[in-house]
Amino acid sequence: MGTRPELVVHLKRHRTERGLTQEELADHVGVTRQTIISIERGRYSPSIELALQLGRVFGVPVEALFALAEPHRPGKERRRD
Amino acid sequence: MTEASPSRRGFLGRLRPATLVGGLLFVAGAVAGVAVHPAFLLAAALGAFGPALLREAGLLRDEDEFQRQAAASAASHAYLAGGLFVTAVLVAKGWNRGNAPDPEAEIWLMALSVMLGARFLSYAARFWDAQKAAFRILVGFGTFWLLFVLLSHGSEPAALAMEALVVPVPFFLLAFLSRRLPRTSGALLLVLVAAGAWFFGVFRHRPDGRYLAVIPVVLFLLLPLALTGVGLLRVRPGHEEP
Repeated sequence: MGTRPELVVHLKRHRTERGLTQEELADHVGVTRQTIISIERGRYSPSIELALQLGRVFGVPVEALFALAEPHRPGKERRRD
Repeated sequence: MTEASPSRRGFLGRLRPATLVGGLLFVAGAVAGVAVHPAFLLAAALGAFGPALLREAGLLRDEDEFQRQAAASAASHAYLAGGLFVTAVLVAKGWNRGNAPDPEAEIWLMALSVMLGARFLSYAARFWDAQKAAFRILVGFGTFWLLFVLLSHGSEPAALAMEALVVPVPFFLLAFLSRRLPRTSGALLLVLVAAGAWFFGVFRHRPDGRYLAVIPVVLFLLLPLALTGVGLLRVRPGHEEP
């Protein structure tokens, strides 16, 4: 099995731009604050359903919140905003 | 409110009611179990396993996907820790005994067997899906018993027919029933397991403490069938295999 590409998470930028706290965002999508923290820190990759819900909250496509890192940098750690 | 500001809900406010009740029940049961009577350990077990059992049965939906993933990871670590610990105990106990009977070790062996069997079946149900896994397990059981009956009564047609009807045929019938009526066949399987446990005397008190005789029955018959039955009962209406 090949190595999965790294996930780049832009969630925190979108959240702070909208002036939402982690807890408020968590309430919007029906998860715990710890889940939002883990997603923002790149410790947890959300399900497609949750990613779509997050996109709906900010009115942006999922690709604006999550993207795959460039394939030429395999050793790089997960990046976040 | 900014990210750095204090949370609206405190630690206790974030605790899920099931976790809180389960924790209290566990502590009270453990204390009373040690101080008053071992029967109170049942309350501790209810506190420890009750919430997880309710979640597995789909009756309690208080976890989000990240919490479920954390719980699955914790369960995997508990399996490894428990399995390795029990193995270490068995090896240590048997080191100087050789093959001499050790009733206490047999209970540990049964615990290990239950862990291994449950993990294998749970993986099969997850990898395929509960209904397909159940069908394959039941057909596998039926085939095994059919071969057993053929080998033992191959030269006696009357006995072969009788025993084939009693032992392998119900498994094949349940296998095919599980495709059409998964929950009904799941319930029938659990009834069959309860009858089997009574018939084989699994929970019968044994004054000599010998439980080794029932390990194969539990591991190779009752446990797989019980878990298969539970898996079938969990097939949601409208999600049956076509």
